[in-house]
Amino acid sequence: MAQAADEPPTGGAAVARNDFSIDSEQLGLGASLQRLVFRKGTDLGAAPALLGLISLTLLFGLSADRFISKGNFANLLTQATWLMLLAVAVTFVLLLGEIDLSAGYTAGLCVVVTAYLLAPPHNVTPWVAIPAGFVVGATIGVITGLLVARVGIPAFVVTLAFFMTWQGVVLIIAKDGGTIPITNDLIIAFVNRSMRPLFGWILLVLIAGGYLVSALRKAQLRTRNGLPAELRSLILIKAGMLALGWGAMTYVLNQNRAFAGATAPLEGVPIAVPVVVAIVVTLHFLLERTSWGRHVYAVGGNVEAARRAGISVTWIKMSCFIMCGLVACVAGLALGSQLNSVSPQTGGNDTLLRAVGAAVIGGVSLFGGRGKLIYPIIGGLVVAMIDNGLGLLGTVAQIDFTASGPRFIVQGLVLLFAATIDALSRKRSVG
Amino acid sequence: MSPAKDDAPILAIRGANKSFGAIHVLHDVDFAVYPGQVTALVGDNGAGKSTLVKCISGVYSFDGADVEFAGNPVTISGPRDAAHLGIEVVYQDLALCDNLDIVQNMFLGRERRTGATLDESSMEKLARNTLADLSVRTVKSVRQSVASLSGGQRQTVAIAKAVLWDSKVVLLDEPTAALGVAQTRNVLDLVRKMADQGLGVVIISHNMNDVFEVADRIVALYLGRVAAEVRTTESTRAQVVELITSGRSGDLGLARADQVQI
Ligand SMILES: Nc1ncnc2c1ncn2[C@@H]1O[C@H](COP(=O)(O)OP(=O)(O)O)[C@@H](O)[C@H]1O
Ligand SMILES: [Mg+2]
Repeated sequence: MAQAADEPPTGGAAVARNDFSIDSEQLGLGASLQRLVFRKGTDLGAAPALLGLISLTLLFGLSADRFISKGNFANLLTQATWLMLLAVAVTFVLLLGEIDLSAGYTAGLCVVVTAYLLAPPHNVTPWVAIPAGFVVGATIGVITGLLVARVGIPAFVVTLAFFMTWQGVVLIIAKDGGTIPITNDLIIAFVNRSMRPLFGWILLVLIAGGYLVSALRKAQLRTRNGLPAELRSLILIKAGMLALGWGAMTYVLNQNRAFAGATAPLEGVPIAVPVVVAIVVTLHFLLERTSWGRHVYAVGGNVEAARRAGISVTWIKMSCFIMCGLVACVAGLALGSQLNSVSPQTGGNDTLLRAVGAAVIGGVSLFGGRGKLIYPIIGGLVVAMIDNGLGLLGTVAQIDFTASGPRFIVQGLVLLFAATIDALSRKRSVG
Repeated sequence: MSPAKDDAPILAIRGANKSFGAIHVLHDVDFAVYPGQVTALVGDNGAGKSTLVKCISGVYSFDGADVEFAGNPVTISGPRDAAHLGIEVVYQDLALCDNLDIVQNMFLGRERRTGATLDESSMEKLARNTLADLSVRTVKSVRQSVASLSGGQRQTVAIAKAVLWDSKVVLLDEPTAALGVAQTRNVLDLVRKMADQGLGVVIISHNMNDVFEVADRIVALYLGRVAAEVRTTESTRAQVVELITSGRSGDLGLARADQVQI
């Protein structure tokens, strides 16, 4: 109760002071800010990842030339696109407390199917070829979900088997070692092109305005229902900070970053940015504001409690695997777009591990039930930044950080570190 | 305590059997819940009390049983069926999701919505009022995660979750196990209040003081069989303890089960 006593005694006369003191008191701005920063509870959320993002920026900014530059910033976002998307995909499965080891090759298979259909001699229209990829992703989700949720095989085993299986299918379609070039404008544009500067500013208005409107509406609704709401001034401050940060990013990206002597300017926010934002906002809405989302967290937190509450655990698990497959398909398109082609390696190697790493580094718990969709985005940026920064770092202390060996070791250790934080914070919350 | 008049049972189970593989847990159990009465279900650990509760709530299904609710034969094939009938359960293990907050737990599986989106305001208000009625002290916010609550607070949340709904039968599986003196008092008062409002209440407890204070009738399970069903006013603690530990007591008990008439 010590904390409650520190706060200005306003409102909440109806209920005794000890009971629901947080719910019944309208806090002042200072106390609200204090609570925002020193939030109680064991869930550290994305705080470690955000801290990591800041320290990495400082570290690489000071040690690697060209790390902080207009061109590299856009590069970083482009490189991070598939990773963030695939991390979002596996987050749905991680929230259940399950794992999907085949998500990388699911992404690969989806984009291989699309590229195969687009390429000669088939020359299928993209309006069929791209949806076909999504059908593949959804189908894989259905099959995996059925085997895990209905038959009861551990997800680890099912998806390990499919890791091999889908790799085999990709090999057959891509004819062992052959690559299928992607020439379709839509897919190429996904991560390689940028929006006109004006659209970048429109996106800024949409994002900051969208946040402002939805937060104000929520507060208004709570006030109308007699519940304490977030302070309007705090909402304005948050929206202002979002607008400022996003505005700075837009400003930098809207500068011409083409090499000197280039014939055309290279400027604008990459098209991938609004695509990722739209996907994350939509899926975040589903997770936070619908019964389905609530049930996903419940299944991840306590399957038995969810079952006893009448939730169809089978359906929830299946839908999460389907969601994973669908988002993995978008990640596959980003991969194909970045490489301008697909090959049997697309979605292979360390693809999946980096995506799971990004989600866990961002703060998604491997034990299920904890994590928001913004976490894999932040984690994806961290992993991409490590990769990008090490690449620019070159050789330091006789270690060549552009080689795969040192990079893998660094990434492995970072993932281990994140998993340790996850395990420790869980231990603390279980008591 | 007024001598309960026996209305027709709101819930009547006859000849219930349940096995887990080779383990036969419930043997031909007859069990009835009367509106306006508190039925105490007692028995040693492993007697099958929780199993009976879970079969009634649809978590497990009986291997065979005639179930009547309000005079009509029903089959309960899942938790939703039980909830639709108006059967609420406080499970022994509480069945709470640690990662969700109090409101989210209380409405789990039955969230209020406006259109497709969750109606958080109305759920929060209702949850808070229900908890306030149970005089929960020291819960600072209904938006704090259940993981951060003490054992007693968790148990109260589980009880509040069952009380929230407009139910006809409430089964409480050892609801006071983690509670202090004052909170136990609250729960017993609540149990009595619910019965006085016409609900059929079942309470499982090992505490004979609690049982004799609050119950109208007592059903003793012994190794998965009903040893006896007695009226609280017509039996003694010693009798009930004997029924629990050896399955019989004087005239009452398994050996002469055919003579037990109430
Ligand atoms: N899911 C299950 N699978 C196998 N055996 C079970 C299961 N649930 C309960 N049992 C067994 O059924 C018996 C009765 O258990 P339970 O109903 O929990 O007893 P009580 O609640 O009376 O202490 C015990 O022997 C227990 O081991
Ligand atoms: Mg029990």
